[in-house]
Parts: sequence; C-alpha cells; structure tokens
Amino acid sequence: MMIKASDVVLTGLMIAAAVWTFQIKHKAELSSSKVAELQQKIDRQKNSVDLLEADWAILTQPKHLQSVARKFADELRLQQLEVDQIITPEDLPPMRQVEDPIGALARGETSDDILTGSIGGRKQ
Amino acid sequence: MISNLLNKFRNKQSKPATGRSIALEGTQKARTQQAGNRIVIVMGTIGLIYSVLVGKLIWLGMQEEGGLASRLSVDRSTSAIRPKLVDRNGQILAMDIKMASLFAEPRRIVDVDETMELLTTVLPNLNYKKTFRKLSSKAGFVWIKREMTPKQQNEILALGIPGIGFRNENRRFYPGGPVASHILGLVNIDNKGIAGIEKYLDDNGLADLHKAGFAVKQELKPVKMAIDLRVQYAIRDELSKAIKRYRAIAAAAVVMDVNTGEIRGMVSLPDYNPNNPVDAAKSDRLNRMSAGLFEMGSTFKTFTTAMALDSGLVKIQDKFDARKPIKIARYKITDFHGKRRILSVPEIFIYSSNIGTAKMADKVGIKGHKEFLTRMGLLTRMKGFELPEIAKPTQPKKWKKINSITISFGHGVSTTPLQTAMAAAALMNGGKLIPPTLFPRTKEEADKIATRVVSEKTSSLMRYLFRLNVLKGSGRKSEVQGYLVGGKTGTAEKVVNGRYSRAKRFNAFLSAFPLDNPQYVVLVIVDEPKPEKGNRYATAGWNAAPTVKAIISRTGPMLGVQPDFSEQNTAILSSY
Repeated sequence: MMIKASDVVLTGLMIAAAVWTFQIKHKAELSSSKVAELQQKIDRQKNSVDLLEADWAILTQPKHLQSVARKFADELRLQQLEVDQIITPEDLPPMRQVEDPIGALARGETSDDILTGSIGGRKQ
Repeated sequence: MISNLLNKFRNKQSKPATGRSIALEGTQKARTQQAGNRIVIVMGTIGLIYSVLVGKLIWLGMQEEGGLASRLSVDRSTSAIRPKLVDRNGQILAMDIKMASLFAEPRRIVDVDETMELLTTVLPNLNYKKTFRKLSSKAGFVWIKREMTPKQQNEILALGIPGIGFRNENRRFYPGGPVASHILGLVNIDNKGIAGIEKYLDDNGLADLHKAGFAVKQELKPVKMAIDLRVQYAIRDELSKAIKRYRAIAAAAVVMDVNTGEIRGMVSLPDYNPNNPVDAAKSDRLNRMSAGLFEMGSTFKTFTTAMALDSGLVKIQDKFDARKPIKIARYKITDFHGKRRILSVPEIFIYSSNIGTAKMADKVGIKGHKEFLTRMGLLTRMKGFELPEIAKPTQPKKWKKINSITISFGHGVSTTPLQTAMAAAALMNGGKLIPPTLFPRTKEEADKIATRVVSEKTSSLMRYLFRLNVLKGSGRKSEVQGYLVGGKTGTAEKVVNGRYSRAKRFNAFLSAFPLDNPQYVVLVIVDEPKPEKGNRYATAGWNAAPTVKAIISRTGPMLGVQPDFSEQNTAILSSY
C-alpha cells in the first residue's frame, strides 16, 4: 500500500484542525468561567451596594437625625429654624461694593499706587 | 472481521508444518490455536477498554462546561424580588436585602468535629449540641443558620469547609421602621404584599410578573411615591406627642396638596413596625385615615356652609335666628356655645352653631343636601385611591328631615377622614375635586381627572371663613405666624352603647394653609382626648388645633411654602 502525499497533507490538516478546534473550545471555556466569576463579583458588589444603601437610609432617617441634632445641639450651637428666618433673595439688602486691591493685582491690573516691597524695590 | 484475519494468520502459520510427525503436528496445532484464542481475547479486551475510553472522551467533550461557570451563574435566591419604594426625594422607604442562609449536606461532610470547630469560630452563638446532631445525621440537607451578615458569610467561605453552602433569600426591609407603616403596608414570608402599597403593587402586575418567572433575576425600577419622609416623620412625631399630652387612645393626620391630590404625609397612631409586624393585625392598628369611619362632627359644617353658599339660596350676608333650639320629633337641637341671637353666616361658622347650620341645610332641602355630599365624594367609597384598606361610608337608608338636620352638623353620616380632607381640598383649590394619591402627580394630570364641584366664588368664600375661624373663632390655637392657617374644628361625641357619650369625644381640625393661595390641607383627628393638665376643656380647639399648628410650623418650610408676613391679608378679611 502506498501512502500518497495528499494523504499525509490531509491527515496533517485534520490533526491541525482538531488541535485548533480544541484550543478555541478551551479558550471559550476559560473566558466563560471568567465571565461567571466576574458576574459573581458584580452580584456581590451589588449586594454590598444594597447593604450600604440600607445603612445610609437608616443613618439619614429623620428620627435618627433628630436625636443626633439634639445630642450635639450645644456643641454645634444648633437652633430650631423659625418661620421668620426664611426669606427670599429679593428680601436681602443689596450687596456692598468692596474694594479688592489684591484681587486686581492677581488679575494683572497693576496700578502704580500699590507699593509692595518688591515692586517698590525695583523702582528705586 | 478479526476472526477472519486470525484464521488467515493461523493458516499461514500451520502450512509449513504439514507433512511432519502427527504428534508434533498436533501439539503445534493445539498450541497455535490456543495462542490464537488468547490473542483474540486480549485484543478484544484491549479494544473494548479503548472504545470505552474513547467513548468517555467523546462524551466528556460533548458535555457543556459543567465546571465553575455553571456553578457560579445559578441564582440561588429563592424568594421574589420587589422594587424599592422611595419617597419624592429618593429616600428609601422599603427595599430588598439579600440575606445568606447557611446550609449543610451532612452526607458530604468529611469530619463533623472539625466542621463544628471551624463554624464556631465564626458563629460563636451556634447551638453546639443541636448543630452537631444535625451534621452527624444522614440527611441530605439541613439548615444551620438562617439570615446571616455578609461578613459572616465571607468568613465562612474563607474557611473552605466541604459539605456546606449558602442560599440567598430576599428579605423586605423598611429602614424607617414604623414611620410610614400604614402607607407602605406589609409583605408575607414569601415577599408577597399583603397590605398597603405593597399589596397594591402585587395587585397591579407585580404578582403576574412573579408568576411568569420574571422579576426573579433582574432588578425592578424603584417606585417613587408622593410622600416626603421628612414630613411623614414630623407628622408622626407631633401626633405621638399629642397622644401623650392629651392622653388620647389614637390620633391620625394627613397633609395633602390641594392642587394635585398628592399625599405628602399620612400617619395613623398607634401603628406597627413592618420589619417585625407582630402588632399589625391588632384591631386598634387600623389606618384610621382611610379605613376608619367616623362621624366627623362640626367639621362637616364646612360642607353644609359651602353647599348653602354654592346653591345660591343663601348669601354670605344672610342672617339666621339661632335664639331657640330646633325641636323635631323627640329631638331638640341646641348650640354648644349658644349665642342666643340672630347670627350671620360667618358667625354661624365661627361659633359653630348647630341651629344656624341646620337652618342653612333646611334652605337647600333634603334632596339637595344628599346630592351635594355625594358630589363631594363623602358618601361613596373612595375610588382610585391606591391603598387596599378603604372603608365605605355609611348614611341613613332613607333621608328624613331629622337626618338632614343632624348630618348638617356632622352626625348621622360616617365617613373616612381622608375623604373629608379630599372634599376640603376641593373647597380650597377653587372648587375642583381631585382624588387623593400616594404617587407623584402633576397639576396638569390632576386637572384632567378633576371634577368641578363648587364655584370659584364659593371656594374663595370658604377660604375666608376658614381664615376667619382661626383669627376669631375656635381655631385660634392653630395660628402659625406667616402661614395664614385657616380651618374648622369639630368635636363629636362618640356613640357608646347606642347613645352619644359626653365623656368620649372624637376631635378633628380640618385646616388649610396658606389661605391667600391654599397649597395644603392638613387634617388632624384625635380620638378620645382628655383635658390637658391644668385645663378643663378637651374640645378640638384645645387639642386638634394646636397639633395642626405644630405640624404646619414644622412641615411648612419642608413643603416649600413661603411664609408671608405682609399685612395685606387682614385687608382681605375686612373687605367682607
């Protein structure tokens, strides 16, 4: 029986194809288990987010805040809000125009009137 | 095929042997035959083993990955997922928490002693004897500990004990405890809603979703509600103070947006803790606001007055003779704070005259009276409200004149306080009846479902009367500087053994603020209050009204009502 060259080639191709297929399958398995692992991690983190949210909800309960506010009222000098303390922006007196020489300096609007050590020093 | 080959082989082997001694031939032949048989057996066996191995390999290859991936992706939660409930600011009112429960498969446990030793390092409170017995049994599955913290779970996982595992279970958690118990309701052990909004959600699609198998893995969108947790808590806090101060058996209140019907806060005390609802089924824990029926007493005069004014048969300047009691059949109708003179409509309202109110109702007539109260939604079961706990109002089977007279001042008809608040909102907002809701609703949406029940003019007259009653009448103790409160008190005697009792009262204060542009209706009821220490009176002006004041001054800023200290409002009053 003669072994033809084409037989050798085809057998080689078959083996190569089998190896290749197996490798793809193996890779797919690896990544799917990675996906599952990540999914589990996500689930766990979602779970802990839920728990933290529950914690936050408990800590921000008006009842809890009220008792904490009472406890630290003296220390933080807290006061009960009175209705007449609520005003609209229109009720505020107009803003006073304040001179701001250092701000002007920072913006680069130097004026010769300002005498600082360095500027004055250079002048002399 | 193999035997053919072997035969050929045998023949080839035996050929050169022919022609020699018979004995030799025989032994050789026998030997070759034996060897041939052995070869067949060995080859067959090896072939069989290899085919089994190849078969097994193929089978394993065909098998879907049964490893880590599938183990991890199985969702082990056993109870149904429910959506989060949040208030209008996004503060969580109810949520699911996944709790891990520890179980063991005793048959797979290698060393019970070692397992116990390891478990007790994390769970020191574990009942040693009981657990040991469980683990030594031949059972397939036993619970070791239900609902443990994630920290404990991680620690146990880190121990790597064989034969134990976790199962996640959803548990409903209410961070505020009892603060909104009557609104939120309850779930049973399977996470199914059995009361309040939880039941409403199940009745409106959630249960079907669960049945279809959805909503087990994916998350559901949070459900936003109209209530404001801060307002809700403030109401509850003030009510519990009121119960203590007036030694009442119960109290309840609602704050409702008059323009949208949204409920910003609704509390009925005593209530229960939905996280541990051992008291929930007790009869005094009912939601008095929507499931309690009461004769509302003098607060009903608000509706009688509005009816008389809206009918056009009575003008605000009209006067009625309240000098003599009304005698009808064997009854005598008298005034509690009798003025014994001719009273104008505003006077009848602020002195809460039974005689005057009855005479106004008489002008409208029995049929008109019944029709008006029905139109205001006070005599029928509330429609479209979300809570399943709604009582159906009661009224006389046949309205006679005596019924009309007593109903005019709030006796003879039992209705729910929430309906009363809804009807009052219609009188305040310009005459539109809007069903209350626990879910967010815009003004435009509200206008679509609103029905006009009284005219704009009647509404503005009622605002004036409400304000007047706080400035000069029985509601004085509800005034909050800057918030222009107005309202009507009601002190009803409760029926005990078929008779009205002087000692047991049901008090209410039906109010709205700010009266120059009403935004909220506040209704407070106090059940069986006693006089405060150092006071002789236990009428509504002395307990329900101050409670309204406390609630409004506390919640006004939260509700975004701009206080107004200008004097123009007194000008409105003097113009009438």
